[in-house]
Amino acid sequence: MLAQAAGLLPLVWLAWEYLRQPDPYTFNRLVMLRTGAASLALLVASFACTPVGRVLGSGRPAQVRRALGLYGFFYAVVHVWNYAVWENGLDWALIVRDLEERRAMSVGVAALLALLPLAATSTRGWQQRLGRRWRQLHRLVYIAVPFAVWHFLWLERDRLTLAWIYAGLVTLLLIARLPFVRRFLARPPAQR
Amino acid sequence: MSSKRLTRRQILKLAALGSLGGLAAACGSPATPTRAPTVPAPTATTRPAPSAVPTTAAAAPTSAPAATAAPSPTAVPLADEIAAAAGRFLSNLDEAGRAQATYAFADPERLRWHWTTPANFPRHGLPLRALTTAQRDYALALLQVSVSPAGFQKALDIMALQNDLGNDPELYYVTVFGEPGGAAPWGWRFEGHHLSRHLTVSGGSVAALPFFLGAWPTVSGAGLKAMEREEWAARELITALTGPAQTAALFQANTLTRHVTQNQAEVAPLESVGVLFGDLAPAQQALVDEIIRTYLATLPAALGEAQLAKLTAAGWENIRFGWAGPTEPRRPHYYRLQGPTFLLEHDNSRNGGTHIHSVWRDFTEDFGRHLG
Repeated sequence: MLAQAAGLLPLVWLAWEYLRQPDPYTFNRLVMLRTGAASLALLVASFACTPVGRVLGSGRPAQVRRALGLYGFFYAVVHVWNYAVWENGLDWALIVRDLEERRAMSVGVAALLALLPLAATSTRGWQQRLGRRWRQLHRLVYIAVPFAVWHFLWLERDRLTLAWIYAGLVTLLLIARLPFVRRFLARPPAQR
Repeated sequence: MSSKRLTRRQILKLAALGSLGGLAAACGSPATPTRAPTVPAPTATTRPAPSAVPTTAAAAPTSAPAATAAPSPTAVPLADEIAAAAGRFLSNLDEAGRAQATYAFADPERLRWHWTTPANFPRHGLPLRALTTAQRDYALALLQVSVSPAGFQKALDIMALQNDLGNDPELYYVTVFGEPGGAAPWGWRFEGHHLSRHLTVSGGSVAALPFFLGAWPTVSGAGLKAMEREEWAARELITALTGPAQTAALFQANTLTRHVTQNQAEVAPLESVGVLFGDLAPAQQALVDEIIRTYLATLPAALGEAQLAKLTAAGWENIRFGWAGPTEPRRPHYYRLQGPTFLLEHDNSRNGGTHIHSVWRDFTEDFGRHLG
C-alpha cells in the first residue's frame, strides 16, 4: 500500500497543482519537471529494493520492487509524452533538433528504451515464459537507472546537488550488487 | 531491563515513510521559484536620467522621415561614462581578477559569444558569482551605464528567470577587451544564459551590437514575463493580417527549429521573406514599430535613436516581417524582421513556444566593425 501511495502521490500532487494554478504556461512545465523527478525517484527506489532487502534480511522490499518500477516507468512515459506531444506537437524536426543540441536527451531516450522491455515483461507470466532469460533481460535495469541519473546530471543546470545525490545513491546500490558485497550482506548480522 | 529494539517490520515502515518524504521533496523541486532574484541593483550610479524612448505603438512613417538625426552629441559622454565605469570595475579587482576579466581587444575571444548556459558553452571572464558584493555592484553599474533602464531591468528579469530553471542567476560573466578609456578601441561584454550584450568603444563612439535576449519560461512561476511585448506584438501582428499580406508574412507553415544566424560573428542579410512594411495597414505598421522600438529601447537612448535613424534612412518600406509556424500562443514559432541595415530574429520554437531566443544584428556595425 505504501508503494501504491508513493506511486500515486506525484499524480495527486499534479492534479492539485492544476486545480490551484491552471495556467498552461506554468502547468506544462510543472508536468515536465514533476514527472521527471517522480520517475527518477521511483526508479531509484525500485533499484534499491533488492540490496535493502539483503541488508535487512527481509523479502518485503522485493515485493514492492515491481510496483515502484512500473510507476517509475509510467511517469517516464508521461514525461516523454509531455515533451513530444504537448510541447512539440510531434514535430520531428524540433525533436531531432533537441536530440542534436541537448546531450541529456539522447541519454534519457536510451534510459526509456531500456525500461520498455522491463515494464513489458514485469509480470509473473512473462517471468515463467522467459525463464532464465527473464533475469538476463532484466539486467537492463543496470542501464536504465544509471542512464536516468545521467540524463538528470546532463540537463545543463547549474545546481546539481540533487543529481549528484542520486548519482551517489545509485553508485552505492551498484556496489551493493557486487558478488563480494552480496556475500558479505548475506551473512547473519552478527558475522558482518 | 533490556531496551526495546525496533523490529524489521518497523524499520521497513520507517524507511518507506522516509522514502515517501524524499519522493515528495524530489517532486517539489525545482519547478517553483523559492526566492526572489539574488542579483542586487547597484548602490550607486552616475548615469543621467535616460531620455524617453517611446514603447507604445505609434504610427510609423511609410516614406522618408522628416528629419534624420545626426549621431547624438551625448555619444561622447556615453563613451566616457562607460569607460569610467569599466575602470572602476577593474580597479576594484585584485590582480588575479583583473587577469581573468581582461583580454586584448584583438583577441578572438571578443567575437566568441553564445546564449546557452555556461555548462554547455564555457565562458571566459569573471562571473558575478566570483565577485564580492562591492565588486558585483561595480559590475552591475557598468552594465547599467551600458544599456538603458529598460535594458537593465530586462537583464535583471532574464537573470531572475534562472531560478525557475534550477540555474545560478549569478553565472553571468564580465569580460573587458582592451584598455577602457584609452586611445585605442576597447570593449566589454556581459554574458550568460539567454543574455549577451557587447559594447565597443572607439574614438568617443560606442557600438552596442549585437545583443541577444532570451526568456525561458516566458511566464515564470511567479508570473514574471520578461519578454512579453517582444512575443505578443508580433503575434498580434500576424493574427491581424489577412489575404495577400498574411500569405506573404506566413513564409513557412512549420516553425524554424532555431534562429538562423546562431552565434556567428558577422552576418549577411537572410533570404527576403515576409510581408513588406509598406503593404501593411497603419495599425499593423504600428506593431512593427513597437517591436523594433521595444528591442532598441534596451540600448542607451542615444544609441537606440541612432539605430532608429539608420533604419529610417534605409527606408521603413524596405523592412519585411515574416512568421513561421502556428500563430496560436504556446505553439512553437519563429518570426523575423529584416531591413537593409538590420536583422531581428525571434525564435520561440522550444518547450511548446515558451522559450525565446532573440537576437538583433546589424550588417555593418556588429562588434563595432564600422568604428575602425
